[in-house]
Amino acid sequence: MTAPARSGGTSPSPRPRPDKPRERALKAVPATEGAPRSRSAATERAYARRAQRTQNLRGSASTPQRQPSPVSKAPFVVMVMVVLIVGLAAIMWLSTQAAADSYKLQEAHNQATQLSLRVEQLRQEVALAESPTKLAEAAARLGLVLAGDPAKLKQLPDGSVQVYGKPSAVEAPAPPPPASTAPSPPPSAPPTSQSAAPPAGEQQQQPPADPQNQQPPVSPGG
Amino acid sequence: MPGPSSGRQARRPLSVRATRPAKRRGANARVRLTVGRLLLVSALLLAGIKLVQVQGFEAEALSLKAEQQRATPIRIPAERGAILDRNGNQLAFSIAAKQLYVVPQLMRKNWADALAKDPRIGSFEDHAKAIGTAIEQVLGKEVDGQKTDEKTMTDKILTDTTYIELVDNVDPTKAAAVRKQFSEIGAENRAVRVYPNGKLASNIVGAANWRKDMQPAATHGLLGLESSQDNLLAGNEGRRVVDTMQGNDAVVIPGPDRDRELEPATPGKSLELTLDIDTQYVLQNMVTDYTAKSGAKSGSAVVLDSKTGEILAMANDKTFDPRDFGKATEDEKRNNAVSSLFEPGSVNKIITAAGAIENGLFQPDEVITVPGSIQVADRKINDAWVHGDLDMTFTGVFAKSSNVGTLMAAQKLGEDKYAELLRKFGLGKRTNSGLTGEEAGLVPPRNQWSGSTFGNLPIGQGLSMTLLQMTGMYQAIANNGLRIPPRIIRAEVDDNGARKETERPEGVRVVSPETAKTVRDMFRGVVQDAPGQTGTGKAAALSGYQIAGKTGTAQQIDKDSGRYSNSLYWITFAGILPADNPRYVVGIMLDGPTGTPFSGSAAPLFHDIASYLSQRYQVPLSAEQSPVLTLTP
Repeated sequence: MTAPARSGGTSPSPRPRPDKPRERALKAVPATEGAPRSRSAATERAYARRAQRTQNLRGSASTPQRQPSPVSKAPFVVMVMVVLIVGLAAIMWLSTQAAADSYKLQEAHNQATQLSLRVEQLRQEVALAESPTKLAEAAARLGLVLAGDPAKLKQLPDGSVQVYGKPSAVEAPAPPPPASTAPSPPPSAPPTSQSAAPPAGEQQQQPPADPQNQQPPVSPGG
Repeated sequence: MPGPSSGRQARRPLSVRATRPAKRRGANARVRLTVGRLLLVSALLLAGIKLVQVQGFEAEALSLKAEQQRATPIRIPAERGAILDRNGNQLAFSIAAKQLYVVPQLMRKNWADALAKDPRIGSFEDHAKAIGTAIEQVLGKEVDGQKTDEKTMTDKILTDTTYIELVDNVDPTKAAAVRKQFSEIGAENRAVRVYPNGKLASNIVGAANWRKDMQPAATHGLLGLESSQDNLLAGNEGRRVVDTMQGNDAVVIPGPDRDRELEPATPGKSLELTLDIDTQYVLQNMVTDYTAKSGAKSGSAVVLDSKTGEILAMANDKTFDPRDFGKATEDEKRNNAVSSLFEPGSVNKIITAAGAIENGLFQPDEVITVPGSIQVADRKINDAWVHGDLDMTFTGVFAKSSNVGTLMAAQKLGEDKYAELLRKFGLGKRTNSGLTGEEAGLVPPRNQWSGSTFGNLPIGQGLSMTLLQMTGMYQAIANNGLRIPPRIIRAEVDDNGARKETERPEGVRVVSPETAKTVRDMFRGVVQDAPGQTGTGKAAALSGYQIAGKTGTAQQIDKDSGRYSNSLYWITFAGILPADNPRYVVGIMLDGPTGTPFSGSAAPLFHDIASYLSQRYQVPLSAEQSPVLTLTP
């Protein structure tokens, strides 16, 4: 940018000025050879300036130092651009990936929450089914009764067995338990399977249900 | 540029052509450059200043503002600890639930705005109805006793109010399903306390529910251990901040640094109790049955581990449903075994027996002549049955439950030693078992004893205790004279499963091991059933095992007359299973049983309990059966 300004002569830079007297002296000789007419001082100056310009131009074009610089800059710029573009692309890709991952994470979190809720629910079901109250109810439904006061056997050192307590059969459950168990599954199941025209699948199920079928008529009667 | 003119003669001096315009252009350019530079520099400066201002001086305020705009604090609820029995069965635990709510007025306004833009969406009433239908479809007609049918829900949404709760304790997955359809329905965290065993052990475990009035709202206990151990069970709530979209806190902006946990939630610790829920179940049934059978107003029973003093089971005839404790009566909520005081009656005679043997005053088979009555100060005390002078062994005095014989031994022992024994047996002082509502009992202080006091205390009148204290006395004898204060909390379990045993209470040496063994052997006579040598509690005997125990009958004070009643009793029993190698101690109290064959004694109940315990814990049969002890020679 500054070079033309300088060559225009307007530049106040100190370099060209000390050169001027010397050049003028040098150019004066060939100028007088090629041109028989004597020139005015202004013309001389103009020629000198032109010479200087040409020399400047030639010099600048032929300087071996400046020649390779534009050539060597290009790959560097390209490289920088490539690095920048690759970097930019990498950043974009990574941030997209990070965002996608965080969505995945969120989803996994949600799934974990869902599963832990499910676990909680199952735990609750197990705890409820495990409670002695429920177990006793289930046992009563199966017709089980508490063993009460059993007799005990003890093997004596001589090999004989001693009985402690009187072995006795456990009393049949009192009337209330069968009454409460009877209306539940067994009586309700057989009437429906009999009244509704049973499909093949249900007919196959009937034989095992038969022993149960004999019970319901007894319990409502008794 | 110089090319074309080279070689040619210049027509005009170049200086004329070049310098003038150059000068003009140069001056122009200089100004432009200077102005441009100035502008750029000043812009840079301004930007720099602004940068410093924004990044330096206003940074905090601005980031705070930004934070306020996007950050939404979220409370991380702390999971409440569970209550477990000694085998890890759950007695109480929490599950997550949601409460659904709406903001009807805002909904109506938003709907009106939307309607103005798009008239096809229909009226707000239709929309409310659609929501109601959806809720009914997902939740059914009822949740946990709350109506969730379409009409109720629609009516609630159409209420002219700012905020209304739709339904509480909703399964979170169902709540999510409802909210997926209608995002304007809000959901708040809740926790439901589940008591899988229902009424069982409820007056020990207590009850907890969701407390909106607490800050922060959470599940807190109101009764029993749930209340007394609330700090331990509740844990501490955590805090989390997430970045959300402006104007909609539900839209969370994902990102690793957008979710900041300020304080993690500390889940509550779980409590492991000494109870065995199976034993508790059987004991509960037996106590309820026997109380009804005996016509008693109330009844309680306690089973202690004789070596550790741990409460294996503790049942009262009345319990309540912890899920619906609002309806429970005071009687049902009370844990009578620790909060109801009674006079123990003859069960208390074990103190005299232990003192007399410890001090070498009597031998178990020593025969003493017991008169029909004894005068203590201004009082004349009789035996329960009329007799003249009667020869009894010292064992027989207790096996036959002779008041006169016991008082004779007590007087030989002396008041001071007796008072000291009362203290060592833990009477008149809370056991600090960890149960709520525990009473200390009343023992008259030594310096306030009148002459007749010492005629009452040895036979178990004039002092009161809880059933747990009474059972604790027999635990001391069962554990070779070392009384371990009973306790209910066995360990604390944190959320990682790390278990921390609670400190074992220090034992109190009451009598020597030899004395304890002698007393146990003597008290086998109580359950003895031999011709002419029958004890008062033969129904308590369990074949195959040596049983030591003591029956008790104490007169209650008649409220009308202020005197001891002749019809109202406390029937008690305390026993050790098996007497030769004690494993369990059982205490029973029936309050005022009347009018049935079972009203006179609690020994049959002890038999049933002992029989169950022997099966449940596979107690080996006694090596030898109790020899027949001479009660009356």
